[in-house]
Amino acid sequence: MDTDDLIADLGHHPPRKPSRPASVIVAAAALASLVVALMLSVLWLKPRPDLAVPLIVDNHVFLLKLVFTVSVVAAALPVVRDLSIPGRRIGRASILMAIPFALIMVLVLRELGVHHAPDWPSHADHAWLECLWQIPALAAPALIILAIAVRRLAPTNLTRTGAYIGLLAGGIGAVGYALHCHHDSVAFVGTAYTLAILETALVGALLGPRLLRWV
Amino acid sequence: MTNSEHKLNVLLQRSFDGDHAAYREFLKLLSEILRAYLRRQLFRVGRAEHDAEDLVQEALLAIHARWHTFERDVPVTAWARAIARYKLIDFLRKSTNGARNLSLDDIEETAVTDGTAIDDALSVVKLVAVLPEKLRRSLKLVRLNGLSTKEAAAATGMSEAAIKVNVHRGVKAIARELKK
Repeated sequence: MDTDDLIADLGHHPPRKPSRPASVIVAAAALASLVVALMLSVLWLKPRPDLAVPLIVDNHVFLLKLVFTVSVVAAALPVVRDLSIPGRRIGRASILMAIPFALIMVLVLRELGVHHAPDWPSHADHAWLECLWQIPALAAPALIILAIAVRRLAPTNLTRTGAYIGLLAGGIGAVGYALHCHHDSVAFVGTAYTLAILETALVGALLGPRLLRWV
Repeated sequence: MTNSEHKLNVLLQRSFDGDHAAYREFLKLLSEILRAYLRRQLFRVGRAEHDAEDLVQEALLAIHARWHTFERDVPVTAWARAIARYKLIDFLRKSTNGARNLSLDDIEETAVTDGTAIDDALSVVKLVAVLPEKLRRSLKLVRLNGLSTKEAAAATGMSEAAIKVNVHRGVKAIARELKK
């Protein structure tokens, strides 16, 4: 087919003015993912027994879990949105992404300094393994939902976009996991949660070129 | 480029208002920009430039189908070129059978074996001519005359390692020259 014919064809259908749907689509997909992750956490993993007790607010490590995981989600959202728009520069947003991880590392080091040995859960090995596969498991539906949404936009760097979708999904999975996880130790959150989220990001990066390819 | 950016923006505004002729003109102007861009990129990786026309059409179709991802704070040429680049990479990936990272050597190799066009070879001769004497001699003997590194070393009195380094630098210098 001749390019001029193609142009004549397409010319019959001038576009409507775009109304910035990228932010809306990514936010909606993230919200849907969060709902699925929370439901899975409640129905499958079961919430920690003291979750309903109002005293949970006094549990600083529980609050830290929520703040950390939610800020990973909040930091990844704008990057995923920007990566879905061709030609958009990312710049500062990807630096923001590092902040939650850097802050939790500072807290872990501080705790190590105070206690010399971290107050490691007694059955720490078991908790570690559980965290390392259950967060990605909660994140898996989120990864799929986000990939379907982002494919409808136009990501041009599929590996990188996949990695950030993985970070976002990992953060969402970790929010869900926090409702269940009863190992209240800063060192545990800083290491096991971080690793599980990065694990999901790696899966996202590896699957990105297949999951996100659009034509 | 800023000039065409401005023109494209005016046409685009009119297209958004439903002006068919403006949208056609927009696509026409954009296709010229994309064609030049894609040709340049294809030449750099040693591909036949006639693939460019297919890619221009693919890019136009993708652009037409993805207007919902256009945001005003991204220049329309940057937006369209990012889509064209995505299509180009996708095409190269499919057609080079998994060769994801084309290194300089691969690029050189394909450029020679592909037999792209005599014109390309001639322009390479011209490009080689502007290189510094040492690089030029090594590159000419090995890549244009087809001598082995060993033979070239014997012919020039340089070491094999020096020949290799010179050839590598020469290829890089040419790549730089082409980018200009």
